[in-house]
Amino acid sequence: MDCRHLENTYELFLLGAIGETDAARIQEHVDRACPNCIWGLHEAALSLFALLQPAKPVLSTARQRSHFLQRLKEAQHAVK
Amino acid sequence: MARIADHDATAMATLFDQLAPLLRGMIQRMIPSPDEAEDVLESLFLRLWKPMGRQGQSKEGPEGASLEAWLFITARRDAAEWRRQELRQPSLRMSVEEGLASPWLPKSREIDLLSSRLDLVGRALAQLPKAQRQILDLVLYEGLTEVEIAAAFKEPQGKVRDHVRAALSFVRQRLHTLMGTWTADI
Repeated sequence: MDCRHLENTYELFLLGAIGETDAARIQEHVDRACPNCIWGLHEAALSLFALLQPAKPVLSTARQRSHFLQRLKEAQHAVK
Repeated sequence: MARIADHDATAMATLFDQLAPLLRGMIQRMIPSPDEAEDVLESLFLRLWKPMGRQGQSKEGPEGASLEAWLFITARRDAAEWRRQELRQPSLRMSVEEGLASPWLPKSREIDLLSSRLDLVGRALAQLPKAQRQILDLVLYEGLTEVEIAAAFKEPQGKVRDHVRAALSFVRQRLHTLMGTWTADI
């Protein structure tokens, strides 16, 4: 199936910002390994990665790191 | 990646130390409250230990798939959803493939290369018309849809849609050129 009409929607698909009909069309192409759509989504993912880079990183505080480690411990315990 | 899939807390803590600062910078641009932003960030990392969507328990992508790319795109979606809940806007969460086995995920080496050339991406963005750049910011960082932007600017939906899609396509094509030739300048 021709997917040229989907070419301008790949980023919006990855952002979850297009209508369900268009999203379902792209997902259908992905599910049947459409090379055009997979390539387009791959390029779109690279582009989004670049666009989403922050101007500067925000380092973790000791409290934030400690809080994450605590949640990690709880999650690990729940898994076991 | 294999150690994280095996619920190795030390590996997860190392990953957090490496990537949390950049992810936090992006999330805090969308979620002003540091505590709320941190909750979104922590939940994102912890999701790596849970079954994900259609991929079931699989955390391993195709060979060399970039966990960093997955984290950035998923963090943006999570932050946008948080904003929409706060503003009581309808959820946009759709059945986008979330697993690390997604066939479109860039490879780690591609992300490394791109990360070393982000200055050129900034220059590509600077070439966009002001209106397109403004609208792109609303899509990427305010989490607005094309319909919502059209309503906010009192512009026809078709015009806004054309702006959004033209801007995203322009950046993607510029990036393709950049990634295709290491010495490319734009």
